[in-house]
This record gives sequence, structure tokens and C-alpha cells, in this order.
Amino acid sequence: MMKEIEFTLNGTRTRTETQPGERLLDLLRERLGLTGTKEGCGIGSCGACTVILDGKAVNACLVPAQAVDGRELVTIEGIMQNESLHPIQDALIRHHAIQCGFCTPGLVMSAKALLDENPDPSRGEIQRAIAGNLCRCTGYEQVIEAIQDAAKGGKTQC
Amino acid sequence: MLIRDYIRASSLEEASERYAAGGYILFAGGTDLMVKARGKKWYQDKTFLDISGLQELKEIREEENFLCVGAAVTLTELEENREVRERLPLLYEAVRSVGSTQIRNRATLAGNLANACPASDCIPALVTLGAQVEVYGGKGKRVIPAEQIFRECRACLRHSGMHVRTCYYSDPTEKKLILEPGEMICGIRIPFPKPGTGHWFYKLTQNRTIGMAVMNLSMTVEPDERGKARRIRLSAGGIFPRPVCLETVRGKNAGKSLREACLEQAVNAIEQEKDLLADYPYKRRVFPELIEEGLEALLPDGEEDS
Ligand SMILES: Cc1cc2nc3c(=O)[nH]c(=O)nc-3n(C[C@H](O)[C@H](O)[C@H](O)COP(=O)(O)OP(=O)(O)OC[C@H]3O[C@@H](n4cnc5c(N)ncnc54)[C@H](O)[C@@H]3O)c2cc1C
Ligand code: FES
Ligand code: FES
Repeated sequence: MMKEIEFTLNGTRTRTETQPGERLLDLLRERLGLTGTKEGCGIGSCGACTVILDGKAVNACLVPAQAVDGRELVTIEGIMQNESLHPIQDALIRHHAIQCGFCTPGLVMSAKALLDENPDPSRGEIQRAIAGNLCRCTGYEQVIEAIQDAAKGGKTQC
Repeated sequence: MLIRDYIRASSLEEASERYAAGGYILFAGGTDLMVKARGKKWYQDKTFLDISGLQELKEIREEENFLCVGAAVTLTELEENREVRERLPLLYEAVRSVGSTQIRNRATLAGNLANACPASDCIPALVTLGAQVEVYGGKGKRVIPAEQIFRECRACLRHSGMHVRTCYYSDPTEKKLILEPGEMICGIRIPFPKPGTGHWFYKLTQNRTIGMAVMNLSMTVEPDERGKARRIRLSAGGIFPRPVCLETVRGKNAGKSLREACLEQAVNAIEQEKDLLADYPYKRRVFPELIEEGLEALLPDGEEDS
């Protein structure tokens, strides 16, 4: 059944129609036009679709759209701060942690969920937080360094 | 994704009534169901009945010597729970080895058990610890030992590699558990091991990404009053069509040491699965090695006597 749901999307109350068969990923990309969240595998393995639901990183390909009714969702489109890049995005650029960029929105969201809960993570904690995000071009070293840098306030020039 | 409908249950009773009436499939974290619903048309006449928001299923509480984990508790919530970390370290390690952060943020322990995958990381830990499953149905609650809740599932062990998407059942609860129609899991009760009990968890994967185990091993060694190893319990994923707990007790092994008896029993058990396992020669070789490694760590020196 078509159903109207209401939830907080990137800080704004949002109402929208949804079909039962829609995944959160379809709702974002097809219905709301928020294509920053990517579909890599569609089966929870790559993390390209990572979004933050009630403070936790989740795979948007594994969440039914109607399950977000009444909840709070943050996507890559919602993390700019006063028109400037989020410190994690900024650090990824400075650390050359992006090649094709397909994995980047998902990685940013995983890193943000981590730093929101744990502002001073160890290297191991960073590795665990991004273990569900596959990157086929850059590898993970630069990404880990960037996240460490962002956690420290993002000052290192590379 | 092709489903008839999706609804959120508003209470355990309502969920149970609907589920018993038919046409519904229980939906907790959805990390198994969403994968299957994507590729298959199995659920076009089914409604996903989401129980993840039911407060009565979200509790983790201590009751006598058990930790009771509600069916809607996620793996992340378990990982963050101090009792689990400090008093159920075997379960803690098993839970932490599941998938990724994103998966653990949604996946439930009950869903992992109900899905009954022979390569699950949590089931062998639960079976080794002697967990009990609380089941809710029309006639009220009943409790089933975890080891007795499963039926054999041979299909996926015939294929090399283990993937969530190779599960052949649209509703594994129906095919792989002994539940009556309409019965659902409402919680899992895990006894705290005796003080001094050692634990070992090992997950062998094809690569070090977030996939299912090729094999995994959960093991505990319980001491007697003098601190000497008395009882070994172990369970393994990726080998057996139905989770089993292999137990070895000191002094009951016809003169063999505890270590020898434990290994012999494990080797006999895997040899029964010769015709079933796709990667039998490999698994037959590696299984005893995994156990030896655990015993090495858990048995103090001088434990060779019978
Ligand atoms: C990318 C990826 C990686 C994974 N890695 C691992 C891994 O490393 N190790 C591992 O063990 N698993 C892994 N899994 C599998 C999965 O995450 C677990 O099996 C998960 O714990 C299932 O819980 P859920 O709440 O998501 O279940 P759901 O998908 O909601 O349900 C699973 C099944 O259980 C039934 N069910 C759910 N709750 C109940 C209940 N209360 N009573 C009766 N039946 C119920 C459902 O009807 C369904 O058939 C992985 C999955 C993915 C997608
Ligand atoms: S698209 Fe969701 S994890 Fe790959
Ligand atoms: S930069 Fe291309 S996949 Fe990560």
C-alpha cells in the first residue's frame, strides 16, 4: 500500500509518499532526488549507501523506506556546515583519499557516525568503523589518516 | 524489492496474532531479509512485520544467572553492553565478528539465530554457552535450549563459500527451526559461565573483509574447584548441517587426555559430514588445527593427564 511517511531529513521535517517495496536508498535517490547516497552492491556489502539513522550508520539498501517514518535521517547532502565542507570531507581532500569518489559519501557518513560518538578514536576503532565501506581505487591508508586528522581538528597539510 | 506490504507491529500480542494468521514474515533488522527480497520474488505475497520497534523486546536484563536479551536488541547494543563484554566474552567476540558496523547497527541476535545459517557466527557461541530460546505463541511462552531448536539444513553446505544470499529458504524459521506455526522468538537467555571459565573464538574467512565465515569455532574450558580444566565445550560454524555442541569431560575418556579426547571427538564429528561438505578435504584438515590453537591458549601446561 502507498503510504505517507514523515521524518526528519537533514534537519528538515519531510513528508513523502512511499511504496512498501521501496528501500530507503530508492526513496532518497528516486523520489527525493538525493543522489549523493550511492548504490554499489545492493546487498549490504560495500557501504556506498551508508546514511545515519537515529545516530547510527546503516546501509540504506537494507532499510525499507517506510521504516524511517518518525525517525531522524542524515545523508551526505546534510552535513555541510555554513556552506563549507564538513571537516571530514575537507580532510579526505587534503589527504588525497579520493580517486573515483564513488565510495566517498558512504565513507564520510561512516566516519561521521564514528566521530559523533567517539571524538578521539584509535586507529583500530577507525578501521572497524569503516570495515563495511569498500574502496576499489584509493585503498584505506589515506582515508584512515584523513579521519584521524579530522578528529584532531583537521589542521595537517599534506 | 518485491513485497506485498510493510507494517510495524505495535505490540508483541498484535505481532503474534498477525503472524499466526499467516501472510506475514517477521522482520527484525532485515539484514538477511532485505538481501533475499532484492533478488527473489519470494515475498510478493507476504507482508514484512517489523518487530524492531517493540519496547518489550528491546531489553537486556539480568535474571538469576542469565542475561536475557530481547528479540529486538541489535548486535551493536550487545557489543556496547558491559555485562556482555565482561561476563560473556565469548558472545562478545562472536557478535563483534559479524559483518560491519552498519550491519551490526541493524542486525539482531534473535534474527541471527532464527535465520539458522550453518555459518552464523553467533549460533556456535550461543550453543557453547548453553543459551535458551524464549518462544512466544498463542499458548504463551516456552523455553527451548538453543541446541535443540534447529533442524538440519544441508543445502548450503554443499556449495563452496558461504554467502547470506545462498540461503534457500524464504522463511528459514519454518524450515530450519522446530517452532510451531505462529510461534516467534521473544528473547534469548544466556547463562553466565562459571568463574574462571576460559573462552576462545576464531573466525576463518576467505579474505579479511566483512563476509561470512568459512569456518568458525567457539570454545569454553571450565575449571574444577582446584582450577584444573574439567570440561571443554565447543561448537563450530560452516561444518555441521545442524549446530552441535561437542563436550569432553575429564576422567571419562578411557585413559585419553582431555585434549586427545576433545580432538578425537571433533574429528569423528567432521568425518560424518564427508559426503556433505563442499570443501571437505580442506575443512577436515583445518578443523582440528583451529581446535588445537584454542586448546593451546586455554589449557594450562600439565593438563595431559586423563
Ligand atoms: C553484508 C552482510 C554481512 C554479514 N556478515 C555476517 C557475519 O559475518 N556473520 C553472521 O553470522 N552473519 C552475517 N550476516 C547475516 C546477518 O546480518 C545476521 O544473520 C543477522 O543477525 C540477522 O538478524 P536481523 O535482525 O537482521 O534478521 P532479519 O533479516 O530481520 O530476519 C532473519 C530471519 O529471522 C526471522 N526472524 C527475525 N526475528 C525473529 C523472531 N523474533 N522470531 C522468529 N523469527 C525471526 C525472519 O523472519 C527472517 O527469516 C551478514 C549479512 C550481511 C548483509
Ligand atoms: S549498496 Fe548498500 S551496501 Fe552496497
Ligand atoms: S575512490 Fe573509487 S572506490 Fe573509493
